[in-house]
Amino acid sequence: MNNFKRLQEGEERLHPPPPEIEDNLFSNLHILKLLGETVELYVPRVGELFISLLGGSIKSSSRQEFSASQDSSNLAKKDEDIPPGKGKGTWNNFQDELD
Amino acid sequence: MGTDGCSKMTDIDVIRKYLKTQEPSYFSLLYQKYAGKIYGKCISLLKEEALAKDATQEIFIKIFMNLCKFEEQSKFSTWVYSITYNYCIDTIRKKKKLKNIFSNDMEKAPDLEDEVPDEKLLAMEVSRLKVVLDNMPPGDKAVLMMKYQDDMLIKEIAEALSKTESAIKMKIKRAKHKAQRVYKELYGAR
Repeated sequence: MNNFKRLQEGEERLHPPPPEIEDNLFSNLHILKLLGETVELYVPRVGELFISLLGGSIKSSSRQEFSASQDSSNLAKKDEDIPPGKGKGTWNNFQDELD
Repeated sequence: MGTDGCSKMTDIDVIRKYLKTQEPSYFSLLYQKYAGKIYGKCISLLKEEALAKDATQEIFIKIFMNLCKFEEQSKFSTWVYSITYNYCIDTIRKKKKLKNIFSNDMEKAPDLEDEVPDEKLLAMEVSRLKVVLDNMPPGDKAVLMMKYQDDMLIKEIAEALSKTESAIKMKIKRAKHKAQRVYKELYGAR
């Protein structure tokens, strides 16, 4: 172990990270995660809301098509193509966009 | 969900588990492993506890937000330290209102001096090395820490700081000279 590494060890012993960093960090991460989940849940509805606000209506058939396209087998197939954490509209994708 | 028995997991295993499950306890494992090192580096570079506290928190948020972008091409520790050094350098730059901590003319600077052997730098007493590093410009201190403390390769340092490899080689060479000069000023030729 060289002197630079010994210096780092000494600094770590002398200045341990204060516990409030961990508390603040994990409460912030919790909020971010909650925000991401909320966006994930409601963003697909924003389009519909806009159409409604503009006085339009959404055909029930298109809604059915939308829900049919989301059946579990279809999703499972899609998930196979997408590496973990890279799916469109997922929390991680939202993180990418935030970044 | 518990993470018992996870202490032997590699960083990559923990990251994969976290990305798959989104279980905070896995991210907590990464925090436990790196918080001390990151906070230590922040204290060493920023020299203020309050700044170092904020920096550590922000760096972990950056890690959390970008974890899915980690491509496993380098060690996780290298990636984490790159974020740490960049954040600290950026903070110092903003605090001192400097445009760039690493001057761009370093690539053009003439190569007049001989290389200081690593042994000279590594033979310094730890307490003296701390004083020497504290008396050096933050950019020089950072490159020396990256090379000798974190064993980062020239290529990795260049990527982390968005500089060319030749610019980093020159920067390290000059930083070593500066360290030796500061040492001589403070402690003579001893």
